[in-house]
Amino acid sequence: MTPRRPIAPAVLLVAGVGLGCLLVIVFGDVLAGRDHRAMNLDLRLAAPLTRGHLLGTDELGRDVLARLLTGLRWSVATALSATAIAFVIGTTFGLIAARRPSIMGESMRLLTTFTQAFPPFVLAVTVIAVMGDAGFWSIVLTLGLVTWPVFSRVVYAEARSLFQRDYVLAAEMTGMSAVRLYVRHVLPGLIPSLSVLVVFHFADMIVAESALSFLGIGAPLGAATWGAMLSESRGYMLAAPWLTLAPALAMVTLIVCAHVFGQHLRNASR
Amino acid sequence: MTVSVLRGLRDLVFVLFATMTVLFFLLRLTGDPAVVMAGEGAAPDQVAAIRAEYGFDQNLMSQYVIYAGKLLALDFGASLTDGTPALEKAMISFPATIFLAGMALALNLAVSLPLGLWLGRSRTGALRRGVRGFITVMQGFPGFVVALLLINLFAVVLEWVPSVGYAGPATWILPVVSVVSFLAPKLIRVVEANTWNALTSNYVRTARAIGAPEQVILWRHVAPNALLGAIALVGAEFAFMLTGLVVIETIFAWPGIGWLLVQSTLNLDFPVVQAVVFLMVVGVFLTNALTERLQVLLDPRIRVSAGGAA
Repeated sequence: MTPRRPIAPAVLLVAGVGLGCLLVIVFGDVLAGRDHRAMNLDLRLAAPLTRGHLLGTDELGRDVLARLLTGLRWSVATALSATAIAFVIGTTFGLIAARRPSIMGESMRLLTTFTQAFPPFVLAVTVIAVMGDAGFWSIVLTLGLVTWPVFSRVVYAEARSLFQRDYVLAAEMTGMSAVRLYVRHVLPGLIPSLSVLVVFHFADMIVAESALSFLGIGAPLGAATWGAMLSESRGYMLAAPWLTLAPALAMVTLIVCAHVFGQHLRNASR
Repeated sequence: MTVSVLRGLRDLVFVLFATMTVLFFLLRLTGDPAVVMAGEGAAPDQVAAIRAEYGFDQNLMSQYVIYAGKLLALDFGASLTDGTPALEKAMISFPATIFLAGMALALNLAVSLPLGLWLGRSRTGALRRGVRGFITVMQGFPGFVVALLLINLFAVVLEWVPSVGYAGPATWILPVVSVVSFLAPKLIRVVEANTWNALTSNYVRTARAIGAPEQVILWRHVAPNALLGAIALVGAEFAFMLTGLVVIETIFAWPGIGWLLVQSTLNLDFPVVQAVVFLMVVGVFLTNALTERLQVLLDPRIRVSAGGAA
């Protein structure tokens, strides 16, 4: 038995933040103690720690902490869903192409190039127009449809080499059905790199969602999301720097934790 | 060589055709530009007149055929907002983006190459660990968040530099630093990993065994290999910058192609959007092709395998 490696402090930190996020996502508004929509025009741009507002209030007197926690829910939900869509599309394409590289490899390459050349901003605006409203599904669809090549590339490359392994060839020769071959032999071989990819992609999607919301084509108008909060904060940089700092630091913390977790996962799978 | 150039051209034509076609139909879903052009409170017959003038009243397929025909002659039509040729409008804003991308590239290389080489030389040491931790944290900062924080500190609070615009070196600093802040960590990591791999490779062990001085090993054997491996990433980062600086350009009111894309999309200025996307695709494609050529030229291993394949 190999001796257990001591748990790195960074991992403990990440676990703590992850647990905190989970609590916020489940209990949300209760933890903030206030409604994130409640305005108080007598208490606008109040500094942190003013009258029970731990992180102060914004230009409409809304509690920044409550908005931050609601924004976390939104960020995690959109990022997870977008990652799931990209994962499903990318993995499916990658697997199909890896099975028949001579026919499918070239078309997948072209499709990937095309997808990466297409500007996400235009797609986002289109999806919003078609769906009639900016909202959860328009963002998630846009991000998923734009970013799936991240998964298809890795899956294609790894599955191709898996298909040439002796054990896969042997299984194929025994007449195993294609579906069984995928489920039993190919997919398990992809799990280590895919799980790392999912974690990093989740972090990227947090950034992408907030960028779209920042540009005003992500979250619905007035929603408490980090991107929207950052965008609204621009008018009050001198008077209320916490309006920028709070969502910025929250986002950075979440992303750094995802990265550290991803790196840990990568090292563990080696 | 000729084969690969021809194949590249075929790919470019395919991607351009696919992009421009999908773009055409998607843009028609975003809204009716005639309503925007007529302005608020315009009478229905005014809107209809504009529609007829620009041919938006014809059916979609015949509009597409006309569009595709003009596209072959690189005719994107006139901007719906000010009547100037759309391609010209896009061409005018492209240099600003290339300029920003070029400065960011230069700073990125100047920071990342030495830092990556230094980090890769050893796995231990408190200073190195500190720098690595800093890079991990920097990797978590999205470019536009860095931009906002920099503006907040250096433009609003300290008032050292202007917060927005494109007029002289003082206005260049914050956009360039913002872009480099999210490009550099990746490049540093790659150079670091390559340096470490080179240092632990057989050829370095051989060089050590025959008594080559450490400086010679570093500059003759390690650095070239570490840097060659980073070319692909540098190319990809440059290609990304040609299309991906939408938010940074918007924040800094930088009159580049990303900014123009946002403006023209929101104004439903279809000809300009189409011209911008066309230039972006060509730009990304050329960058990728040049990166590949550069790798083949500089790296004998790739030169041999590419020559064998072609």
